[in-house]
Amino acid sequence: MNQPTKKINIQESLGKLEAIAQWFETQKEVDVEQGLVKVKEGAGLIKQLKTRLKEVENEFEEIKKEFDEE
Amino acid sequence: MKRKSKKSEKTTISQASFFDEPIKTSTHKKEDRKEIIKEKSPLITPEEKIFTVSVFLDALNIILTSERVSIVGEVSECKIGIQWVGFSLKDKEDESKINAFLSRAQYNRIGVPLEDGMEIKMGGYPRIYKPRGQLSFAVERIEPIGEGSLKRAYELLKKQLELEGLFTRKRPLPQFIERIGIITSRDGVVIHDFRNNLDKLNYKLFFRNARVEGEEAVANLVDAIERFNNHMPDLDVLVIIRGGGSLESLQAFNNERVARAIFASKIPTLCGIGHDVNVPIACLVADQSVSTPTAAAYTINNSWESLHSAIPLFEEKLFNTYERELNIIIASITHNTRVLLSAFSRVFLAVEHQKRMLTRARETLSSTFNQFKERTRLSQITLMRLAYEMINKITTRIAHAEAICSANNPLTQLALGYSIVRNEEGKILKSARDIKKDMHIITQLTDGTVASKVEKSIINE
Repeated sequence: MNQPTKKINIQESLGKLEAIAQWFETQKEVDVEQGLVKVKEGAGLIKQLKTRLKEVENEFEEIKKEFDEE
Repeated sequence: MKRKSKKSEKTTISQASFFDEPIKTSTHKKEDRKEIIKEKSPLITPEEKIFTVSVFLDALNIILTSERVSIVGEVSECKIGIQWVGFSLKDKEDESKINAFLSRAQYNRIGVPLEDGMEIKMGGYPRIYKPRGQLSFAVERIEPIGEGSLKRAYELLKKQLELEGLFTRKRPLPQFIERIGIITSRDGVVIHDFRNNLDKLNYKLFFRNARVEGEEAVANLVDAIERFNNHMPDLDVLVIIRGGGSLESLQAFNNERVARAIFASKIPTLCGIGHDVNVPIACLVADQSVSTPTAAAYTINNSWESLHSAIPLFEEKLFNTYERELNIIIASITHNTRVLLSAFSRVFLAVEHQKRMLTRARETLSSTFNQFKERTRLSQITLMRLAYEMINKITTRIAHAEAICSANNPLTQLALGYSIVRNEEGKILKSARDIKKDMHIITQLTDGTVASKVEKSIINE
């Protein structure tokens, strides 16, 4: 039921992507090997985020019983 | 005994405050109440009974408070105190009026501001205020009536809440909303509109049914807001939605209690309430508000917009940057390869040239050598020939010389009778002048020698 971790992951992933993008921006000369590692990591994060944006049906629940039971 | 117990109950009622009495009274069981009415009411009991004033008023109050009524009229002499709120409700047609009271707490609970001149419908029950023996009305509900009153109530509340700063606190809705609490009516199209316009992003929707119009609306809305906050405080957003309506039908959303409940919500709030001119106060208090339930759905979808737009941006940034870098490196490699190849080809050319030179030199050398060899061979032949010729010539010469020698051999001459005279030293004597008397001479003949002593030498003249 509780999925705050998922949300943190989105923020975290975006943060990591930002860091990678900045890394590329700050490098005067990109080291090919290091660059490849970063690109691979970035591609993984992008894939993960794209998956979250995929069409998945919403879940609907009418809250009635558990509130009234108190 | 029975009477005494009734008296003690009666005393309790009379000691209680005016405003608390109805509440206490209402806690009586219906049966008990009927019995008391039957016992005490002078209208019900035919036989003459004598009451004290207090008991009589209590009896009257019991009858009066048993029925809930609604009265329509205009508010006047409105006094809002710390503990109590009091006003007169005047009839619009004549000067008839009734005093009305309610506790400040109840007034706050009702959430409709009062002001003189406002036309309202008040619900409650009549009762007699015993210390003054005056009829008054205990107010349980207040509804402004007519556009003017509604507007006035709206303006009053808006002003008050604005002063309190309820409209200025705006918390941003979180990014990437996932868990949504929805408060609206189960009936009608609103909930469907909202759901249909949400993207399919695996939202978790928690719906709480609430009346959005009528007497129960305020309590339902406040209850739902509070319950979501108490039971599901981790929701990303609380969505309060309703379709469009008149000021009258939207009263619940212009209600102070609802407004304060929204303000008190720890969960960020999003109101989507259809309206005309006057933005519902609920919308003004909410962290974010839109004018339709559909727009509320879009607002939630938009919380993902930054991710939608960020992904292609990052793809561009990462891959293109890296590709650009790779291209630079590839270009540099290509360039260097070309330079190297060019350098190598120059070396190859030089080597090739040297090789050709060597080959040529070898060929020249070989040719020279062959020539030399040929020449040598030819020279040999010539030499040989010359040698032969020479040898032949010499041989001929020798033969000739031999012949001459042979012809001139003195020994041969000796045989012919010639002789050779020598002195004792062996020197050949050719002249008579060299021979003296008594000299010993040796004469060589063909077959031997003769030693003689000279007698005399004669020289020819």
